[in-house]
Amino acid sequence: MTDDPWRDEDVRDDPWHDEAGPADDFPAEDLPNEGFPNPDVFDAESASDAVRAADEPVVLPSSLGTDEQITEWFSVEDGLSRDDGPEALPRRRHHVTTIVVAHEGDVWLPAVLTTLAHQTRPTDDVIGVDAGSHDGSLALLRDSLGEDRVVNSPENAGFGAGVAAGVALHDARVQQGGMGGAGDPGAPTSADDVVSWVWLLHDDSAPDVTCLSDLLTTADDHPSATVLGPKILGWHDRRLLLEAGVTISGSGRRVTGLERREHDQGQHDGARDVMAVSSAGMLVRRDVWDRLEGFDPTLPLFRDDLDFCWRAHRADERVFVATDAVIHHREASAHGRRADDLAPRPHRADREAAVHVLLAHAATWAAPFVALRLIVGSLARALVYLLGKDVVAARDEVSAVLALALHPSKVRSSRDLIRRTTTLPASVARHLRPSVRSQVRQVLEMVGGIATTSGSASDQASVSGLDSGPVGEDVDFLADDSSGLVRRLLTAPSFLLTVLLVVIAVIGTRGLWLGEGVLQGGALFPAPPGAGDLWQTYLSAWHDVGPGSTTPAPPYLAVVTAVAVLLLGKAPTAVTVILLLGIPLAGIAAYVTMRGLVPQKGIRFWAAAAYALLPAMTGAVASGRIGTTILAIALPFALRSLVRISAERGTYRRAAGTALLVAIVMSVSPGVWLLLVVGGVVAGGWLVLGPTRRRRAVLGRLAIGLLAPVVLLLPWSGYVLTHPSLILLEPGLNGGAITDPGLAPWHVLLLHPGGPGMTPVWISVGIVVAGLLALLRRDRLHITGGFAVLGALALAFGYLQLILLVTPPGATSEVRPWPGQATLVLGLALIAMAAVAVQGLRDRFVGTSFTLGQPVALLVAVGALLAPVLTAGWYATGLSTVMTKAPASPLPAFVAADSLSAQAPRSLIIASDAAGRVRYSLLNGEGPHLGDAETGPPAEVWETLDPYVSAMVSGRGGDEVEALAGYGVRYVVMAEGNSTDLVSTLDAEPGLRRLSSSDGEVLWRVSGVTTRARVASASGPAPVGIAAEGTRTADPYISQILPEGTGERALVAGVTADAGWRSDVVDAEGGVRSLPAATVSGLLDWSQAFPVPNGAPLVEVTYDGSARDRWLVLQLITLLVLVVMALPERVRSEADEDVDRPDAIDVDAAIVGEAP
Amino acid sequence: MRLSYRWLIGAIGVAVVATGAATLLQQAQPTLTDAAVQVEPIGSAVLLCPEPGASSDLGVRVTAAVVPGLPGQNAEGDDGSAGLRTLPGKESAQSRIRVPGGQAEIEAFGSTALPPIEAYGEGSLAPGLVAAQWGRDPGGAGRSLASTDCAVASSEFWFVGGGAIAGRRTQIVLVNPDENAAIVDLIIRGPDGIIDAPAGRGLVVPGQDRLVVRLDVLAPGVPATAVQVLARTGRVGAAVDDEQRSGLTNVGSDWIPQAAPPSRTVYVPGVINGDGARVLSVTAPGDDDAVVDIEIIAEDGTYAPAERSRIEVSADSVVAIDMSPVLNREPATLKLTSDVPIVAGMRQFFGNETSFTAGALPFTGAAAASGLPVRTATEVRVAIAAPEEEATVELSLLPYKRGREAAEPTGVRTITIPAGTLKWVRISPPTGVDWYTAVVATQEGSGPIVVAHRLKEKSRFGDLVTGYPWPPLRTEVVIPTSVQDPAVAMR
Repeated sequence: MTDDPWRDEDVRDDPWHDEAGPADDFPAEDLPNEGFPNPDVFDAESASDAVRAADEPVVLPSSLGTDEQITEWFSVEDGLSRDDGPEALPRRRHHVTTIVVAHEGDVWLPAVLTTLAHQTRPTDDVIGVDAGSHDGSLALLRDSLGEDRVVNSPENAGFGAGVAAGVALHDARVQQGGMGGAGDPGAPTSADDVVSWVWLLHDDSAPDVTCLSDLLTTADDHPSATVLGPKILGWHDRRLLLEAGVTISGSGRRVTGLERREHDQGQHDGARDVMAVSSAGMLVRRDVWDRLEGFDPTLPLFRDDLDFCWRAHRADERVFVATDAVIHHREASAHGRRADDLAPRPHRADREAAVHVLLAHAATWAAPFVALRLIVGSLARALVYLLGKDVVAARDEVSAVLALALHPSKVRSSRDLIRRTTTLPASVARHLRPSVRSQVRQVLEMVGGIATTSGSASDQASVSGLDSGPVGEDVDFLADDSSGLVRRLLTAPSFLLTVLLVVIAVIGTRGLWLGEGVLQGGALFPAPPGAGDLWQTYLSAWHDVGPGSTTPAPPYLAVVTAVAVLLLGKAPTAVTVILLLGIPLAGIAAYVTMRGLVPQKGIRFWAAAAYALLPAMTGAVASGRIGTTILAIALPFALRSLVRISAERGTYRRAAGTALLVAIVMSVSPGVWLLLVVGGVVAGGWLVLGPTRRRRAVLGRLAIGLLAPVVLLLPWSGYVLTHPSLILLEPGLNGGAITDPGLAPWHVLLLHPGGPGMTPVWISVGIVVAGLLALLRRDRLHITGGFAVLGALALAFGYLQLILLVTPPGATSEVRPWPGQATLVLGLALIAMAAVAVQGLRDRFVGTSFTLGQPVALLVAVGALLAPVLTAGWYATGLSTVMTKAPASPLPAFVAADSLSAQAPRSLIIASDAAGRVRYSLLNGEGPHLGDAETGPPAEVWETLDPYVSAMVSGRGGDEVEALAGYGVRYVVMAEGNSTDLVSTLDAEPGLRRLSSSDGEVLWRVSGVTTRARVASASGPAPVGIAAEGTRTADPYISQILPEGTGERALVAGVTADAGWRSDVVDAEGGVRSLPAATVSGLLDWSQAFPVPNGAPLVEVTYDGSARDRWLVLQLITLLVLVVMALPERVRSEADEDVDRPDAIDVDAAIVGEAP
Repeated sequence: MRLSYRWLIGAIGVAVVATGAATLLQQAQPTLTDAAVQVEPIGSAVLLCPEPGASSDLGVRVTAAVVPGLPGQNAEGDDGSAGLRTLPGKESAQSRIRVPGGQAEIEAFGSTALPPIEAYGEGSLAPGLVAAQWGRDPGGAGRSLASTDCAVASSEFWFVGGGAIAGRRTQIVLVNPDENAAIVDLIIRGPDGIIDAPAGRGLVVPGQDRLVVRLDVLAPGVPATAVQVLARTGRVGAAVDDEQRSGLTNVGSDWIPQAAPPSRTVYVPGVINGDGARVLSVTAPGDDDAVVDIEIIAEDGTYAPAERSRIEVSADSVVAIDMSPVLNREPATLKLTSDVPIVAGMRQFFGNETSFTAGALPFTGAAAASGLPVRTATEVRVAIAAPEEEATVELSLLPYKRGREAAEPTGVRTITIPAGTLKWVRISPPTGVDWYTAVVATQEGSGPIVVAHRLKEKSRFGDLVTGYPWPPLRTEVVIPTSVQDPAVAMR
C-alpha cells in the first residue's frame, strides 16, 4: 500500500473498477447491501498507532499508515457479508472533497480531524470552514489542514452557507490549478470516469476510519444513489444508535424510527432509500449539490439536511443511508451544547425549521391546511410542555410558529428555491415519510407510557405525582421478579400483612358483604348508585335536602367519587371498599410509609398492624365513619410527605404533592388538619430557629403544604371556618347514638374513643406504655420527640372533643364529638415512637448483664405485641356494629316511586325515642344519600318545622297537617320498633289516613294538595310538577305551563326561600321576562314564591348556581396548579449522556470504534 | 444505653395533668329526659255517633256540647267552629255551636235511615267537645232506652259483651268520616279463643258512610264475645248495638260501650244497684293466660269478695262470670288486676232491660255525658270512684233549651271521694229545659277518678235503664319535643 493517503491508488487499484459496466443500468433492488471492504485493513498494530496519533498534534496530511486498521466487529460482519454478497457491480473512481464546518467546536474538533485523517479511504481534498468561532476552532483547522484549506464563513450565515463557502474555496483552488503542499488538490483527471463528491462533516461528528470507504462502496453498489449518509452513533456511548436515516412527520417531528436509547446491534442495518440523511457525514454527488444549489440559506442550522434531501427526491435523485458507514455525532447544537448564537434556543430553532420545511414543501392548495395543523399541533404541544412545567419549551413551540407567521417571505424564498431546483411534487417522498398509523401509534404509546409510568416515552421520569404515593420501589411486594415470585410473595411481610388484615377485616364485617342493599347505618348514609350522582351532589349549589339547602358540599365526596370512578363508577362499592377494607388499606399505608423510619420489616409489620387495628379503626368501621377510614389511609402518607418537605432537600414540587395529600386529610377531618397546622408551626419554628437552623424556605414549603388545601377546598373550607363546630366533628351523621356518653378522659388516653365497635379498654395499654417508654432512649429522641409533640397535640384535641358539646350545623341539638380521629393520631404517634425506639434494642441487651430494664422491656414488648393480636381476635369474633346492608330507600316501594314522580312529594319519617321525643326526617325522593348529612339546611329551617311535627304526633288536630302538606309531605312513615301509642294518635289525626302497616312499619297519607310546587290562589292551590323528575337538581327546577287563571296568584316552589332562585316567564311572543320574588303569607311563608301572571304562562324556575360554579373553577385551577407543580418536571435527558464535561472524547475509542 | 428519664417523666406528667383537667371540665351529656314536654289545647275533635238502633218507633236524639271553662277556649269562640252534621256534611242552625258552653242537637223520630252523624269541633271550640246519642222506644218492639257516647274516630276499638246465641242480635256499626274508604278487620274472641271469621276481615267502609255487620253472621252461636275493631287503612268510628228477645218479648237492648284498650289494671265503673245478673266478661288478648284479681270498690270502701275474687282467663279467650252474688245489689266499681293486659266489659240485667258498662282507665280532668233527659220519671245517678287516692270533683250541669245559645253551668256541687270509695250521686235536673249535659271535673291536686252514670226511667212496661262509663274529655294533648334527625331515615 502506498504511504500517501491522498492518492487515489487504492481506488485505481481496485480490481473490479475497470470491468465495471454503466452503474445506472442496475436496478436498485438487485444491488448488494454490503460493500466489499478492502482486505488490507486488517492489521492489529494500527490501533497503537492511533493512540500515538491522539497524543500528537493532528497534522494533515498525515504520514501514518492508517490504511491498516482493525475493528473486531467490522471484521465479523464483513466476513459474513463477503460470503453472501454478489460481486457484480463495478467500482468507480471517486473524488471526494470533505468539508468540515466548525463553529465553537474546539472540544470535539481534534477528534473529528484525527478520525478524518485516519480514514482508510482518504479523502481527496479537505476544506475547513470556520463560522466565526471565538474559541480555538480556527486555529485547530489551520494547524491541521493548512492556511489555504481554511475559509471563514460569516458568523450568522449558518451551516449551509459554511458549506457553500467551502465548496467555493475548493472550486477556486481547482481553477488555480495544482496547489503546493503535500497533496493533489484532487481535481478529477477526467470528468467522465471520475465521480465527484462532497462530504460534509460537522465539528462534532467523528467518522469511523472506514466511514468514507464504506460510503463510497455503498455508492458503487447503488450507482443511482446521489445523496448518502452514514449510520450515526453516539459520541460517548459509542454503540448508541442515533440515526439511520431520518424523516419528518406531518407535525414536523424528526422521526428516526428508533426506540429511545436503542443500541446498535445491526438491527437497522441495510442500505436503503430514506427520506433524508443527516448533514453530519452526508456524501453528495457534486453535480447534484450544484443542481440543488446546496442547502437552503433560510434554514441556518436545523432541517437543512432534510430540506435538501427532500429536494433531492423531488429532483428525482435517490437518498440512501449506508449503514456500514458509521459516524459518531455529538449533536452539540441540538442539545444546546454550544455557546451558539445561531441557535440560542435549539428547540425553538428546530421547531421553526421544521414548520418552515413543511410549509415550503406543501403544495400551494394544501399550504393553509398544513399551516393550520401545525399551529394547532404547536399549541397542543405547548400545553403538554406547560403540564411538564417546561415553560421555555412551551414558549419555543408557540414562538416558532409565530416567527414564521410574521416572516412569510422566508418561506416564499424557500418555495422559490424548490420551484427552481426540482421538478417533482413533494409527494414523491411520501412513501418514505411515517404513515399516519405509525404516528398515531407512537402518540398512543407515549400517552400510554405516561399513564402507566413505564414505557419508552418517559422511562426517566418518576411519574409519581404525589411523591409520597406508593409507587415504584415502595410497592416492594409488587416487584416483578419472575423467578420464585410466589415464594417471595408468601414470605414478604407486606404481603402477609395485607392478607392477614384483609382476612380479619372480611371476617369482622362478614355480614355486610353479601346480600341485597346498600351499606348504611351509624354515621353513614347509603351511597347513591353511581359515581355521577355523588359528583352531581358535589357540583350542585343547591341540594335537595329537606326543604332545600345551599350548604356547600363537602369535598370528601369528590374523594369517594374518585374511588368510585376507579371501581367502574359504582359508588356503593367505593364506600364498601373504603369502609370495610379500611383496616387493611390503613395497614398497608402505614407499612409503606414507615419504610424510611423503621427499616426492620418485622417491627414495621407490628407497627402497621397495630395502627390498622387501633380502636378508632374498629370503631370507625363499626359505626360507618367513612371519614376516619379515609383519614387513616391518607394520614401516614401526608405525615411522611410533610416530614420530607421539612428536610433541607425538600422541594416545592413535593410541597405541592403534600398539599394534595393534606387536602384529602382536611376534607375528611378539619380537626386533624388543624393539628397538622399547629404541629407545622411548632416544627417550622423549631427547624428555623432551633439548633438545625434550616433555611426559611422550609417555612414556605410547609405553608404551601398545609395552607394550600384551604384554597383548594374553597368554598367549603370557608364554611368550616365560619362553623367551627365542624372542626370537632367529622363527615357523616354526628348523632348521639354512635358516641359513648360515659366516655372518660382516660379512655381517650388509652386510645379508646367510645361508641360501637370498641375493644376492652385494657387492650391498648401495651401500646401506650411502649410509646411512652420510647422516650427513654436518648439516641432516638430526635425522632420520638417529634412524634411525642404530635401525640400531645392529638391528646389535647381529643380532650377538647371530650369536654365540649357542640351543635352540628343544621342540627338543633347538641352532640358530643367522637374523639376517634384524635385517638387515631395519638395511636399513630405512640406506635411510631415505640417502633423507632425498639430497633436495635435486642442488640443492646445481648451481652449486657442483667438489669431491671430487661424484664420490663420484655413485658412491655409482649403487651404491645398482644394489642393488635387481641384486637384482631376481638374484631374477628364479631364486634357490635350499627351498620346494616339494607335497601337504599327507607320508604315502601310505591312511596319511593311516587316521590320520584313529577309532583315530587316528600315523605316524613318519624320515630319516637326512649325519652318520649319524636325524631323525624323530611325525605325527598327515595331517601337520603351519602352527602345529605353534610349538605342539610341550617337549623332555623327545622325549627320552623319542628312544631308542626310535634303537633301532628300529639294528635292535636290543628293546622299542622295542612302545614306539612304545604311542605309537600304526602306520606308519613313510622319506622318499625316505635311506640304504638303514636299509631292511634296519628290515626285519629284529621288529615292523615292510614294506608298500611306491615312489620311494625305504619304509613299514612296526607290529604289535600301534597305536591311540592303549587299555584296558590284565592280559590285554593293547584298542583305543579317539577321539571327534574326523578333527579335532584334545580336546573331547571320547574319548567312548565302553569294552569290557566287570573287574579292574584303565586307560584310556590316548595323550597326554602333563597336569593339564588330565579324565575323566568316566557310570553306568547317568545320574550323572556324575570319575575320578582313574591311573599306568601300563612303556612307557606317559608317557601320561595313568584307572582304568576294572568293566563297560562310558561314559567321556568332555576337556582342560580353560578357562584358555586365560579368557586369550582377556582378549585379546578388550584388543583391544576398543584397537580402541575407536583408532577415530575419534564426531564430533558439526552440519549447520549455526558460522561463528564467538557465533552472531551476518548480519542482512542473514537478511532478504534469501541465503547470507552 | 443512656437513658433519659427526664422526658418520660415529663410526658407522663403532661398526660396525667391533661387527663385530670379533662375529667374536671367534662360536661355531662344532656340527658334525654330533659326534653321539655308541652301541653296544648287540641285543635280539632271529631266524634262519630253510631247509627241509631232498632226500629222505626225509636226516637233518636243526638246531642253535642262544648264544655266551657277549659284551656284553649276563646270566650267568643270566634276562631273556632263546632256542631253536629250528617255524613256527608249537612248542617242546620240548630246543630251548630258558636261559643263554649253552647250545645246542639239533631232529633229524628220515625226515621229508619238516619245517616251517620259526626260532632266536630275546630279551633277554640275543639277542647271540651262531647256528644252522645240517645234512643228511646218505651213501647215498641225495641222496647228500650239506649244511649252511648260518640267516640273519637280511631283505628282500634274494643267491645266486650256481645253474643250470638238465638234471640240475640249484636251488630257492629262502623262509620267512616273521611272521604277515602277504610278497610277494617273484625277480630272476634269467644270462650274458646279467636273465632275464625274470614267474613270479618278486610271489610270496606266506604268514605263518609257506614257499614253494619251482624255478629251472628260472623260467629254464630257464640254466647260471649269480645270484638276488636282494627282499621287497616283509614279511621273509623265504631259502636256495637245489642238487643235480645225472648220469643217476641224484648228483654232489653243497649249500646255496648267501648272498652279501654288492653292494660293490666282495668276498672269497670257503673255497676248498678238492684237485682239482676251482672255478667263480667274478661278477655286476655295475647299469648299468655291471665290471672285476674277482682276487687270491689263500693261506697264504703274497697274489698276483695269472698268468692269470685280471682278468675283465670286463657289466652285470647273470653270468660264470662256473673258477679251479682258478691255485689250485694249495691252500686260498685270493679277493679281488675291482671298479670297480663286484659280487656273487660259487663252486661247488666235490670228487670226486662239490659245495660252495659265496660272497662275504663282512671283519669284526672273533666268528663261529661250529654243529652241527659229531663223527665219526672227519670233518675240519673253518677258513680264516681276514686280508686287510688282521695279525689275532689265538681259536678255541674249544662242545661239545653232550644234557641238558647249558651248555657251557664248550674247546680255546681263539690264532692270529695275518699280513696278507695265510690260516691253514688243523684243528679237533680234543672227545670224548664229540654235536656242537659252533666260535667264532672277533678279539682287541682285531686286523685284520678273513674265515672259512669245510670239512668233509670220508670215506665209502665217496666223500668228502662241505660248508662255508660264517661271517657275523659279531650281538651289538651301532650306535645312531645320533636327533633330533626336524619338518622331516622336509615333502616
